[in-house]
Amino acid sequence: MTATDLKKSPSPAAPPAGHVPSAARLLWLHLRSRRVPSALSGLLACGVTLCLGLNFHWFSSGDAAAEVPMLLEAGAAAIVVVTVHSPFGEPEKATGRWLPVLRVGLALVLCGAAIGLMAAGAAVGYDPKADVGLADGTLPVVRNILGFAGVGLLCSLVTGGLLAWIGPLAYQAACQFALIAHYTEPYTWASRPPADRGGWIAAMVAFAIGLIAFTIRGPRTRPSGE
Amino acid sequence: MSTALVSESAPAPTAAPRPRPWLLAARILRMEIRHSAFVWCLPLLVVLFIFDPYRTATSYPALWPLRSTVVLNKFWPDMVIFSAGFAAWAGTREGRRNTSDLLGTTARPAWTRQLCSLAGTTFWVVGAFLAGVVAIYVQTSQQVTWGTPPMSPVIVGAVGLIMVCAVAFTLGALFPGRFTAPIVAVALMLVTLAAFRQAVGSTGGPIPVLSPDGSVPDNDYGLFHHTTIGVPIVQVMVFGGITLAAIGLLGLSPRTGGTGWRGALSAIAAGGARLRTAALALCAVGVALLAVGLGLAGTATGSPAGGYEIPSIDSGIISKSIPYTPVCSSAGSFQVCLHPALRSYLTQVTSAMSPAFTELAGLPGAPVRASEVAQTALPRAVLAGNGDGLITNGVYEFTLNNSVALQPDPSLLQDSFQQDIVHAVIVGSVGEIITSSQAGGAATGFQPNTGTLAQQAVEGGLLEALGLQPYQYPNPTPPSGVAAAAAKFAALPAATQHAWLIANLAALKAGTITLAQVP
Repeated sequence: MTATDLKKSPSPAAPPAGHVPSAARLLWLHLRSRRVPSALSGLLACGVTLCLGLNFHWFSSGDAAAEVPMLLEAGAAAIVVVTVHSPFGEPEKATGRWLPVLRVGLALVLCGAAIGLMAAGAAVGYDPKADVGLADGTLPVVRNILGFAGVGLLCSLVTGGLLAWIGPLAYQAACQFALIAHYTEPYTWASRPPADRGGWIAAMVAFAIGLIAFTIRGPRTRPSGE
Repeated sequence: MSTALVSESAPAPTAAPRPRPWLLAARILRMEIRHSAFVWCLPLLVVLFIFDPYRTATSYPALWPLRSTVVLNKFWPDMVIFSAGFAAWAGTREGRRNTSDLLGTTARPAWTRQLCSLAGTTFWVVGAFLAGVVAIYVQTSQQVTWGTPPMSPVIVGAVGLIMVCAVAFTLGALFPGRFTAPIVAVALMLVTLAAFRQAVGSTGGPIPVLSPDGSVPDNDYGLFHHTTIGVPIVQVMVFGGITLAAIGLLGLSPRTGGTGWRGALSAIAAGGARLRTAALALCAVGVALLAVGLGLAGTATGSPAGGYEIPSIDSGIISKSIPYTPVCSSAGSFQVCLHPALRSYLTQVTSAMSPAFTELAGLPGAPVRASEVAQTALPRAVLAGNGDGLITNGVYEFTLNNSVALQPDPSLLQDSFQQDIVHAVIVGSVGEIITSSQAGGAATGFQPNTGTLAQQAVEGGLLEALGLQPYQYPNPTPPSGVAAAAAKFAALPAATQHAWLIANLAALKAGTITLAQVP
């Protein structure tokens, strides 16, 4: 053996067939720790409920045409924000710099999935000949889910991830009252018309603030793990 | 060492203290109440309470039966979503934390632990509900002038929330997970909304009867006739039945740590036979109550006093009038009497009617007194024609339902009453209900009594002299000659108008006076 042989580093062994890159595996473990597959099932259930409601005329007229979709959108947002809870608690914050990226990415992906599944449910249930469809179209679905999710992410900073569903459900209750009483305040965005600028601004501001705060701070963790 | 020495020095063994199960359960319940997660939503509930039920109640007229409807129409649905969410949250606790096996080694059965957990959440839910009811009732008691606070909405609401907690807790125990609480909350809220839609849509069947959330009744609901007691009784039966069935399921299902279904009827089966029997008995009683309640709800009919009634329970009760002493005031030669519950409107109503009474005093058919009656005592045609009352034997019998809006407006009172009285004296009734045969079957409609052109001119002239808008007739609108004649009649001195009416009112009402003969 010569010095030249020692300077040459040994060639790396070829990875075995079917080996998953470690980053992908870690990402999948992260998603499983947040119960993302169950969350997607819940979001799918919200979309299916919306589709069935349209098909069977459960909320085809009057205030119900806006109340029930609003409730389902809040439910979808509640499912999204509950996924932020980490089963590892405080020690996870010491794992490195990728955690905020994972947080914001997961929140955005799940919000997109919620919007997509709800829109798909509305599209499947859409029947113009029978005058069946979402009363105000798909735009309010986007606005409401993002706005409620923002409220829920803010709520998670106080209550923790597992109880963050309080925020979206409480906020949609206030919006239901605003809808019945014909209030015009923009912060009751879910009761505003689809193209209402103030409602959109309020919802997007809530989402942006909630997302930024959640990305930086993460959900509250307690010694009990909840 | 002798046996006697040993026996002298050894103390007598003391009896072990008997365990007191109720004390242990009370301690667990106290811990559950202290550590319940429901306190997280109390600040939100306070804001929602002020935002909706409280504000709505204060906008209604100060009437006990009307304001008490807010308890079930507004406050109860607000509580459902939080009660369901937190009860499901409490039910999922052992499953989420994977402590079922650990807790399975404790001395108390799982059913005891779970009932204490359910009771802890229910304590906060019912406590928050009752606190809101007290706030509404205390505020109302400072303004009402008649009646007592109704207790049936409070009882139905409390039992309904206990039912929601029991069902949500059982679902949470059966399907533990982090998503169970929001999904159960949304699902139960959807059921509540669906029942409400059926109630306001009057679709028939037992669901509209059982829904605590329904439409707002008329202003005189519960003032002149007794309200139904059959519907609250049936609601409590059904809600109580569902609660017992859910609690029994909790004690039986192995998924919730229960004793299991096998051997439930056997008194000698090993391992928790007594608990199995108790749980099965609760289930059976709950299902029986539910079946009887649903059966009774299916017999409900529309009540003439508004809402529904259960004939087998309410027979003879709703038809009975509630005795009261009317409150009256006099203005000049006429007297106005109201139900004591509406005492605060007496001055407004008297001043609203006074100009018309003074203008028409002494004319044939003019009323000498006004008395409030129940809306159901007036013919349907009066309400269909947007009238307030009719003149019977010299008495103007009226209802305040059409004229007292949720936000009373003095000008609305004045205009509606004076137009109604002048129309009744000059033209006659507001109209009649007619039934016509059509292709799809018989159809009813309202035919307004527009009177002759001369009657319209005199009526318009009198209203213009009183400073009011002309009587609103449906299409076709009166010809312009009527308006000109009305203006000419209004320009006459009051004494001249009165004298002409004394001489010609009978002929005018008979239709023999033409438009050209109106001065």
